[in-house]
Amino acid sequence: MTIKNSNVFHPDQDNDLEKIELCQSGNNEAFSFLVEKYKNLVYKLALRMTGNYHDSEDIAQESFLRAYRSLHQYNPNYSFSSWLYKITLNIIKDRMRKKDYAIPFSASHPEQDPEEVANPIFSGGDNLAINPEERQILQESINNIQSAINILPLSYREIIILRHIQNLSYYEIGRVLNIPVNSVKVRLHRARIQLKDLLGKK
Amino acid sequence: MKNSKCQNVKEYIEDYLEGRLSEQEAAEIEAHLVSCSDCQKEFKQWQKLFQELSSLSQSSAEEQLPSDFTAKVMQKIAQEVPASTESWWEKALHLFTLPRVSLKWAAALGMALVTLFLGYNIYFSPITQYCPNNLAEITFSMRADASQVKSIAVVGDFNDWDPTRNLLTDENNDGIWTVTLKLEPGRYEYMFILDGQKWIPDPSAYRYVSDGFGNKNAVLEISKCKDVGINE
Ligand SMILES: [Zn+2]
Repeated sequence: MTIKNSNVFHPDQDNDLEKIELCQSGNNEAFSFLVEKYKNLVYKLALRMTGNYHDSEDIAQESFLRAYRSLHQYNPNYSFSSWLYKITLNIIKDRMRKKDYAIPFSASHPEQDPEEVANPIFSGGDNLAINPEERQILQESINNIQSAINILPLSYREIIILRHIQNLSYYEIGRVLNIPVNSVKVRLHRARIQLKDLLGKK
Repeated sequence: MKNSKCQNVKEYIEDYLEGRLSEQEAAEIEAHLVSCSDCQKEFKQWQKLFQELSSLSQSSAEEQLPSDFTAKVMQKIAQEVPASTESWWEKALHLFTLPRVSLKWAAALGMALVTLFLGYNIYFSPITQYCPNNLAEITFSMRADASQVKSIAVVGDFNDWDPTRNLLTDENNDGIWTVTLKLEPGRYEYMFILDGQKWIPDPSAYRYVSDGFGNKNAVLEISKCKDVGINE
């Protein structure tokens, strides 16, 4: 009955550090290793935060460029992924402050274009859905939860996504958000309650 | 019915669903849920939330960037200042590589001449496709944030390293500072000076040499016009 996180991400920090040091000594190719390794995680974070494919690719690109430029400020006490997520979230917040994303999002899918409707952003995994009917039920449930997440205030939305989509530990979330682990627990609890209430209303 | 046991169970539902409880603690929760419909109802709501989050997480595993994403990022990075140049000025400024010393007439003459050039110059010097009066028009350019930089001068063998003679300007405020000089064919070492005190090599120079004082100068080589047979 217990749901465990089956795919918790364990970055091999030593290997990353090696690459980062290579980058710092002028080897740009080493950076492409890091981009390749983390690009989809960064993309996923942006996608779940904004709900927009095109912007998310752009945000992912900017994240890596910013990371590259500030590599000399990288603190090895962080895992590279936490540091990267922090940069990505800052970019997203900057953009939200500046313009178009409504906060909170509209409950329906934001800015969805016809292509995305045909190829839904929240597609169910093949490993999950067996027949079309089940797939549709799953799809509905996914749409449901994403819409609810989109309504959450930013600070709740980000903590839910970091915990449940990116599968970060409480400790790592604390590093990304610059808050103590106890606060992670409290904020996560409040965010979940709000999310649960939103789902209950449907 | 509310009692302290129920309160206790409700407090630990999330930890239970996250698998953070010991076997014994989990067993206690499960035992209570069987006997208490109130807690069971609440538990089911939490369970539904966790299940939906989990399916969202798994569907996310399919979301992938286009396969050329990394190449695009690396291409952008390659256009920035090389990571090997000194970082003291790199930190102070936002500098990006620009299409270096460019010659006005390059495009008109096309690739054939460029190829011809390679035969004459060991280093692919950008220069001398067209030489009115045997002078090459060279545009030095650099990207710099006007809020951080007040002046940029170019100094080199062509102006006796005099920082007052050739200043770069950014007239249209696009962050790209330029100055165009007419130079005779030859080999010149040069540097940029920011705000009268920071010396930096042109980030987009073709080559650099040591200045003998632990820094490096940018090098500009201008072929003689007769080398390519277009002397006027
Ligand atoms: Zn109870």
